[in-house]
Amino acid sequence: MKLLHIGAIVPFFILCCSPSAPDINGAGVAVEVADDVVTANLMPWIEKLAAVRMMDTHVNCEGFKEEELFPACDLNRDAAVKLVTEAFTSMGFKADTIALGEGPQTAYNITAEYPGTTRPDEVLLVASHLDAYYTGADDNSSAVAATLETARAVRKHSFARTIRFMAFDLEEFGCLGSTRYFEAGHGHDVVAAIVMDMIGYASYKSNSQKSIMGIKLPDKGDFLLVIGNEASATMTQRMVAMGNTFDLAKLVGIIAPGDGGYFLSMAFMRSDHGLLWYNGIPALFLTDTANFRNPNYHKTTDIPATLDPDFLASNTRALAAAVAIFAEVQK
Amino acid sequence: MIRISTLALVLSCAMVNAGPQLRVTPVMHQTAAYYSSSCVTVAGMGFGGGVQMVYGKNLVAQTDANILWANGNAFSTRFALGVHREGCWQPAVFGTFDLLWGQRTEVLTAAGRRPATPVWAIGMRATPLRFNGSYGYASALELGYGIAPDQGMMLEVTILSGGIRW
Repeated sequence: MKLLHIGAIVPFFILCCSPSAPDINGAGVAVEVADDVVTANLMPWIEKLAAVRMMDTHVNCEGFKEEELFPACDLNRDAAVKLVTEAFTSMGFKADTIALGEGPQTAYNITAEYPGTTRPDEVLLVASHLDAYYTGADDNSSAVAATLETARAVRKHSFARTIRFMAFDLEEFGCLGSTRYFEAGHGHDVVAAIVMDMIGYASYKSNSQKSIMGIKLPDKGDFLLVIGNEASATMTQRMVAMGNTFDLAKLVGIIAPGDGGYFLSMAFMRSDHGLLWYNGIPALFLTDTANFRNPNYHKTTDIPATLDPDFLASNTRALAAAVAIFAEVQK
Repeated sequence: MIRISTLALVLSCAMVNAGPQLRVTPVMHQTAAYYSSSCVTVAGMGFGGGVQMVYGKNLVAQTDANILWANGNAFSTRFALGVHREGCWQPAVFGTFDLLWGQRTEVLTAAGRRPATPVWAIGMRATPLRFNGSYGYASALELGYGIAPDQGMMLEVTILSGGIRW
């Protein structure tokens, strides 16, 4: 009898470890914030950015090797820095430029804050990178546009936490802008973050979505990937549950093991959230999976006409709702 | 598969009443495993140890635990029951039941639920290069394949395995 009890442990353990659903209480109010996102505002930002990027000078690429997917000497950012700064200012934010580093590869990070009411010292960071190769419509004007539109939408509401909108520079040079930002101590008050890199390209054809390092994903590239690690697992669950339950966007959630810095999860570290993950700060990474879906990745063909405006709008609504719930929107 | 694991456990615990035809051998091995389903990916290389039991002439069972590194720190618990050839060269075929615990990459459900822990696979393992001697056995390149829920599959390679009897 005793031996039978040992054998019974296995199925019992399988049953008792089935996980529960995430808590999305308060999501109703967050969805109201999402409803303030105006779809028609998004593509004009991307078209403006594409237009100024075409005329922009290139960042000095000394020290970087040109490769097919990394055309280092075609990176631009100056015009985007100016446009994003003006955009935040026009919405009523005080936009600051934080210059970090020296010489021609100085990073110019743009920041704009919406102060929290009851816990203003706790900052939710909402970030995307503003540097781009060529016109960079998906990479990364799509995420910059979502950042700007979310910044506009949240101003109609109040939140317990401060929301810090950031446009990081020189992500394409190895996340230089964000790395210098955190290493300089500017992010000491960040308690959670949402980082976006490419959120505007979708394909509804079968087999349009490639797997990432063996991770099985749906074969149609019509979803936004929400990636967390163990520290941000609950955030990931909440955003995915809220986005799908309230039909804000089609979200697929992934949780990388540990801090995410393992061999099979390295593909999930490819943006400005990496340093946050390494430092144990809960951060979500939102992406359309870049070159695992978008054939225009880092090419001259990454133009506004290749994006899906409805997909981008849905993702921006999901972003706004996530910002609302993590910054603790107040009724 | 629960019956297989139960039988493996019964055999391992039957050591206490072992008759003359039951030989128990502690084993150690290097191993690698890759488990992939639509919900979970576990992978890694590592090592482990356990117990191998030979009952009579041809029946063999093994249970072991392993640690795997490459995608976080994962652990596997394996139960196997099979038959082997008599003699010095003892190739064997096992039916297997594996449980995988620890860190892994997870794909959430649309409702945001995480996959259950542990994940499991049921399958086969072939040990073509298994040799037996008076004091123990040695085996190389043991190959395993299993199926799992959620369109899952598991591959495992035990690079080197050995046990000493005394």
